[in-house]
Amino acid sequence: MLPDDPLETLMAGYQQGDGASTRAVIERLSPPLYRFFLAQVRSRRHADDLLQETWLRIHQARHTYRPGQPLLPWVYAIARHIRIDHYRRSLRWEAREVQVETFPDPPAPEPRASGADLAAILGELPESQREVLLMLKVSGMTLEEVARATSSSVGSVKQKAHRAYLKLRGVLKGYGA
Amino acid sequence: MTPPDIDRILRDSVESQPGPDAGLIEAISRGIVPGVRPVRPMMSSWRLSAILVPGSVGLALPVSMLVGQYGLRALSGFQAALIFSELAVLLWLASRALFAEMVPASPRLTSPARLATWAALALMAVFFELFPDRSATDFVHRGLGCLTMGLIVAAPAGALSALWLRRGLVLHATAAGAAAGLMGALAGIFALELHCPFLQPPHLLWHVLVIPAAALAGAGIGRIRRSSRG
Repeated sequence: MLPDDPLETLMAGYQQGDGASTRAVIERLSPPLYRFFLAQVRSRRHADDLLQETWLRIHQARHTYRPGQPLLPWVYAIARHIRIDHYRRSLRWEAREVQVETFPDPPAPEPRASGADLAAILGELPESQREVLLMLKVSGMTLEEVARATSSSVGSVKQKAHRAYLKLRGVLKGYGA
Repeated sequence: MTPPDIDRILRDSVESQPGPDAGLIEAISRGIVPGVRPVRPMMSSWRLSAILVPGSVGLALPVSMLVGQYGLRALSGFQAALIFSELAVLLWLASRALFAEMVPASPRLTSPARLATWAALALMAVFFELFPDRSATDFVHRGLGCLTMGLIVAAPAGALSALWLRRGLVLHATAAGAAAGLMGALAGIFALELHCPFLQPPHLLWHVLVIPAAALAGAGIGRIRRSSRG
């Protein structure tokens, strides 16, 4: 199998134990998955952790992918679940944290590439709208694929995307058209 | 600002976002590729239903034979055909819901909670339509007996369904537990309809109560398991 083959073909190779297909799937899916996480957690360290955890889970559950079905919804259903788990864990950690009198100096901001910061733009949106927009625009999924990944209907995805656009219109005024 | 403008800004932002370090991708590949072994893709939902539906009926049948199939004798052929075919359809739908909880991004007809609600309403509608006698003799005592028997059958049937869940990847433990509980509940009602000769809708309400009881128990167990995993 060639690295440029459709993802579904490569995933079938992964299930058959083909090392080259496995490597190709990892190399092709890791960048969009990483950006999906980075735009939500806004920390490279956390995005690294989430990406590794996602691949671990994908590897353990690779038999649940049904050959012939679109791969992206299956991958992103797992990824969003891991992100939600991470969010829940971080809430629990925050609740357990001991309050201190003085706060330490905040860490220096992580180096950022030029251009509008995706996380800052999408940070204005509610969680569910941000997630839908990321899948549509960062991962290039179709409405149907996003609906399957989020276990919702196409109509609901359309509505969330529409509302996200309405909100972004106001947020992005500063960036100019 | 138009949607294409927003698209353009988002596209520029995505392109300016840093990607993962090459070293990280290499580390992930090194961790996975050398140990990758062939796996058999999971069976289709049709095959799973073809195992789970007869399996649930197969569990209900011996129990009803053991305690006596008085209910089956009390029903007319039409009533029996309608009730048991409805239960078979509901079992099939529940098995599909269970499959949807095992496989990420698989098509979902509806959530297990909603399916349980609809199943209970559909069964009650059929009972009210088929049986005109609205009397409620010994309502609580008889009812509690049937509810207990239904749950006794539901427990192993639900546990077997939960065992199947382990073959997949459960992302929503609470919903998966509710789906397994619903499978068990329907097996329990199957046994009850074979056994119980009291055909008054007020009493049959107790039979249907097995659905929320088992589905809630399954959801609760799923929630506890999720919490215990952290």
